Amino acid sequence: MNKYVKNEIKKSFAFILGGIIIGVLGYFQDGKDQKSLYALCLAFTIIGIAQIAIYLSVRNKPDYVDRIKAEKEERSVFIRDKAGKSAFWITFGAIAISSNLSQFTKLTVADYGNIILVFMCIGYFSFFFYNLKKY
Amino acid sequence: MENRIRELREEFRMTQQELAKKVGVSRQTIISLENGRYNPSINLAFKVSKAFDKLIEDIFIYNEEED
Repeated sequence: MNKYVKNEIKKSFAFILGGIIIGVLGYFQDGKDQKSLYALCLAFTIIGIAQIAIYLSVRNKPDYVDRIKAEKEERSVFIRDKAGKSAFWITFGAIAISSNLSQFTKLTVADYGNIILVFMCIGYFSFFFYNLKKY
Repeated sequence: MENRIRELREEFRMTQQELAKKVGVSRQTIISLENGRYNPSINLAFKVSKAFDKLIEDIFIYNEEED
């Protein structure tokens, strides 16, 4: 396996480990802090797993590895910025809607915030892959 | 934006990888440029024109109707 890919996978595992540590810390909390820390744990884990999936899918494709390595290449920056922009506005809208939905459901604003945190990660990577294909 | 990158690349008998290396981008970027899916920055456009020793307007075709 390419050395660069190996190192990036190790970093991704460290990211997941960070999420697990946050989750463990959350176990010893109570109330809404616990839920927020669990949501952060889930977000870290999703990001770490997504990154590992990306690097494993390209480990035997030197052309794709070069592409990922070219992080500062303008097209890569363009794709990441576009994905981030899309994820930001969707998250913004979701927060605006969920802050009002709490009046009609048993979930609190903090609960919606935790859910949005997780879906923001899923949304960003979804738009990232979509833009990677599109451009 | 339409361009003549593929046409010039074949004329110069250059692979996509060779052109990518010459202008400092990935092969995927060259593919996206050739297919018109991605418009380059002025910086990249200059690098591509320099690679073929042509003027930018000889490579990239600006169509006012696109705007």
